[in-house]
This record gives sequence, C-alpha cells and structure tokens, in this order.
Amino acid sequence: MLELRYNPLTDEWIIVSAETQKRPVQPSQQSCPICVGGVELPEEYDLVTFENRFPALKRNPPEVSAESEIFQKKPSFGVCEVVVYTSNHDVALPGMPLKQIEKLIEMWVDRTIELFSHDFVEYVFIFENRGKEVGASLSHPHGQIYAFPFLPKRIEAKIEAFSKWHSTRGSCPICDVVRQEIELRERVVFETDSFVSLVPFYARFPFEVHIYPKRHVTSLPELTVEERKELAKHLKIITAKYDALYQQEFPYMMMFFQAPLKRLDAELFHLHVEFNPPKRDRDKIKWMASVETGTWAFINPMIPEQAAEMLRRAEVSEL
Amino acid sequence: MELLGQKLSEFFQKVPHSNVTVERIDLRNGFILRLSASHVEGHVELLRCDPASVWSFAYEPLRNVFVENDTLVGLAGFEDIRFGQEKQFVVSAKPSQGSFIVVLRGSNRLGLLRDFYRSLNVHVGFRFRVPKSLINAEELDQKPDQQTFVLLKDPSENTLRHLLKKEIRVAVKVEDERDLEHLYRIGVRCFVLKDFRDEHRQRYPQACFILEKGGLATALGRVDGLMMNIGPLSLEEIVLASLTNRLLTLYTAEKYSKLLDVLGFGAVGWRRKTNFVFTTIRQEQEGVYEIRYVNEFNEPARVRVDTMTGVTDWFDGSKVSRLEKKTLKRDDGRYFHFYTEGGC
Repeated sequence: MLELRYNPLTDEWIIVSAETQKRPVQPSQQSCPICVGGVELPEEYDLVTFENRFPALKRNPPEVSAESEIFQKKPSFGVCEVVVYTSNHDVALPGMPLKQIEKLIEMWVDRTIELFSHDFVEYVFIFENRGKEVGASLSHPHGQIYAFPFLPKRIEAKIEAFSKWHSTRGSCPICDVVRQEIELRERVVFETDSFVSLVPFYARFPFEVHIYPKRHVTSLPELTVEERKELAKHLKIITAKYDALYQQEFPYMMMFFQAPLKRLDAELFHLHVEFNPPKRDRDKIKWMASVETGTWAFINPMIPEQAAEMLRRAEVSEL
Repeated sequence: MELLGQKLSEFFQKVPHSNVTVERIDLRNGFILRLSASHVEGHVELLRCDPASVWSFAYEPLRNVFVENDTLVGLAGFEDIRFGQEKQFVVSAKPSQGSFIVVLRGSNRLGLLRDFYRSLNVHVGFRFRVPKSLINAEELDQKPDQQTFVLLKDPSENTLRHLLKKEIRVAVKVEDERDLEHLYRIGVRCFVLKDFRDEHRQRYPQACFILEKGGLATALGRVDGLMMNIGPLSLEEIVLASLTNRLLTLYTAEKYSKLLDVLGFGAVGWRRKTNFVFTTIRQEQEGVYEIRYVNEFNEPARVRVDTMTGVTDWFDGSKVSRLEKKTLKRDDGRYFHFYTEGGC
C-alpha cells in the first residue's frame, strides 16, 4: 500500500508506505547494494543518485480509492532518491576529499532544480542519516532526497516563522542571528568568508550545529561557485569535528532546509543546514521521547555555549 | 474606490455587506472576502472607482488588481468578469464556487502585488498542476521531458492511444463536454478549453485545465493555466504579470524569448530548451526590476530590466568546470542519474 492520508487533528499528511518495510538492514560490504558491482549499481560510477527501490513516494503512485469526507486520501506522488556520495564504501563525509564533497554539492544543486521542476513536487528535502542510532540501513556513504507533494509541517512552521519575523522586523531571522553570533563568537564553531557554523542559541540537541550562509540565499542553486566550495569545507570540518569529539564515528541527521520554491513567500526563507546528532555523551543517547515527539518541545541537556566550546576544541587535520 | 457598493474604508472596520453574504478572512495587512456562489444570482457589482485615481493593468485580460494610494483590491475566481468604463470604472462578475476579493494595504506596488498572490497561495490554498510547456505534435522529434505536454489538434483516437501507450503526456483542445469525457476516460489528462465549469474539477479530478481565452480574474483559482497573447502587453506588464506564474501558468505562443522563460511563462508550440527556475523579482527603482534566476548551467544569474527604456542587462554566472549527467532508466522503471566530472 502506498498512499497519503490526512490527519485532521494536526492538519498534516501522513505517508503510508508498506514498501519501506522491505528495506535491508545494515548489509555487509560483500553484499552492499550500492558498491560497484552491487545489486543496484553493477557499473562503475563516481557519484550517483537513483530512485529508491523501497520508496515512500513515487512518480507514478497507485490510484487511491475514493476518499470519504472524514478519511481523506491522496496518491503518493513524489520522488525518493538514494544519493551515493562516492564509490568508496569505507569513507564518510569527514574523510572524503574536499573535491568530492564539492561535486556532491553540485549534484544536490542539480537534483534540487530537476525535482522542483516536477509539477507534483512542493518541497525538496536533502538529508543524511549516519549511523544505526538514527536508522541508517546501509553503511556505504550515502544520503537521500525526498521530493514531497506537500509542504511538510516543520517546513511550514519555518516559513511562517520567517514571515512573522519579516512582518514585525522587516528582516530575516537568520541574517539577524548570523550578524549577532559573529559579533558574540561564543557559539561559533567554524567561520569562513561566506558561511558560519555554530551551535545555535536555540539548539534542540546536545551537539546540534547549524551552517548558515552569510548572504541571504533561499536555496542551494542560488549559491555561487565559490560559496559552494566553502560549504563543502564546512560539511567536512563539522563532520570531522564530530568524529574527533569522542574519537568515534559520530551518528547524526544532516538536513538541508531550502525554501519551498513554488511559494510566493519563498524569498523570505534563508537556506541552512542542520546537524542533529542524537548523542549527548560518548555512550549516551538523547532520545526523541514522549515530550519531543508528542509536543515538539525539546529539553536540551547540554548548554549550547559549552557544546560550541567542545566542538571548537575538537582538533581536525588540515584540509 | 467602492467595494461591493460600499466605501472601501468601511470594510476595514468589519462592516458586513447587506446584499452579498461574504466570509471574511483577516490578514495582517488586509483581508480576504470569499463570495459564495450559492448566495448570489447573476452578476454582482464588485468594484467602482475613478479610473484617473486607480492604477490597474492597461491590458484587459490582466485587469484583476486595482491600486489606489496605499490600497490594493485584487480579484480571483470569478465567472464572466465585465468592465464598464464611463465616468466611473465599474467591475462586475458572477461569483463561482471559489471567488475571492483580496484587499491589502502597503507602501509599494510590487510588494502589494506579491502580497496579493501570496495571500491566495497561503490563505486560500490555491494549488495547481503545472504543465510547463505545450509543444505541437509535429515538432515532436524525441520523447519530451516530464514537464512537457504534446498539444494535439483533432487527433485520431489511434494516434492518441499510441502516444499515451508510449507514456507521452498529451494535451488536447476540446470543444464540448462529450469529447472531454471520452478523452479523459482513455487517459488524456491535459485539456485546453474555451469554457470551464467548476464541476469539471469533481468530474475529472486528475485533469489539468488550460483556459484558451479569458482574464486573470476568471482564471485564478479555477483553472491551471491561461493562454495569453502578450503582444499588446508593455514590458512592465509582462514582468508584473509573471508574479502569477507560481499560482497559474500563463501560456504564450510568442517565439522563443529568454526573458519569458526566465519569468516562468509557459510556452506553446516550441520546445523549452532551457531550465530556468527560481525567479525572484525585486524592484530597484520605479520601472526598473532585477530578476534573479538559475541559468542552464545551474548557476545563479540575474537580469536587470528597465521597463521605461526597454533595456535588459544580463549578468550570467561564470562558466566553470561542472558535472556531466547521464540518466539511465532501469528495467523496473527507476531512473538512475550518474554524475561525472567534465562538461563545459
């Protein structure tokens, strides 16, 4: 079964997808489906993105039975892609050559443009789940892209917040935050000419890091060639610092928040990357439990300024 | 300016209207009135204003916004809109299932226009299917991309079935309901038609409708696209009209123009060769607009349009080494995109 179901209690769409149940769990390198010669990618490649064999959304979803006024359904239009960063099974973002990450960003730019051009797509979400703690089913370095046929609830909340800030202050909240953070410096982890990586004042997870472009850009395609190169540097540095923090492969959720480009208020949005690592210590997890899941209210056991200090101190090798 | 027979300022004080039942949605800088068809018989006088004091588009099909001083009145989703132009400018129309009047206050015209379309998008929830290009069947030299519809005039059923079997997205001009019903049944999902009725939405839920002739006040909120002859439009009208393109694609049969593509106009009769997206429009000064977009090399680019002099200055990104993409379709129908270093 593959369909969208409307939840009138929260005014949101739920994706029902029995397909995703069939996904493999942590196969070994010998059976890695996305290594060269694997079941998905028998040919040589450098970077590749492809439609998920077990998708939650499809370009040609099955038709749904007639909806009732109460139980509303829609076909699961959309695209779910697997993004393979490199053919090397044993290297992740922190260990990848900078040039490879730059190419990855170019690929994300192209995917953003192509996926947004589908008439059924309302939002393009690029993300990576790293580590079994956040449900990654393959250890080969890869991320995913979901092209949604609706605006997910948190994206809607973000654009509304940008709109509210703009209507009361006439500015962009991220532009304002960036200016203030660079001045204060206490939460800044890494800074270059065009980007700043920081533990936000409002961090929800213990070692949460956000990467903000200093210039007001709405989406990846708006970044200049030089800015894309700088972003690659930030992705490499931050993930390397995570690994250096406790000398272990640090699990995280990496999420790209781009504007919902088909909306007329899209230009209010400011592109940003969020890293949400689930760990709060070497061996302890900050779980998304009842309060977080049920209310969207987060209790952060780590003072953001301390987390920023720890990440600043985590030494990483030269690029 | 009078709205529904009353002074506009009275509406800001929530004065209910005596003749027409309306539902009011309050906004931060104005309100939306929803007129329900069940309460209205025939035409209703919507707006009466002094043409000398009101700015509106000169070209009648675009005439769905009226600005006086700091106030904008915008119309969407009305049937059979009529204009009377004697001593006073009178706009009347028949409300349809979703007819809206948006009233907004703000300081600049571009901002007000953008807020008008944004309000319809956000508060009224206009969402449409958007076929980007309509190419003529005789120009079909290869399988079109997923955004392109092949426009057929009087196709035989065999031709239609053949193209649909090859998964080519077909658009057909239809004259009557019987043709529409039959073509929908065999799988056609895009129709160009002269007469659209609200019940078409319920009867053909997967279809996308493009109105062959009409105005924005009628098309917005009701159909998915509108054919438009942009010949009589001024350059400024073209730029400002393009703000509607995220709600409703305006189709034009003008020959290829980079500016039209950048502004997001739908093409009729030629293949879209470029992939311009993400247009934002900023007003630099009176009549001068900067349009930002992503060019065919996936780089940020911009064009500065001076609508007074007609001068357009293009600022493209630098051409640097980029990735080459090769797309394969596997036997199970899934697309694989391989990226390698190279390209121009």
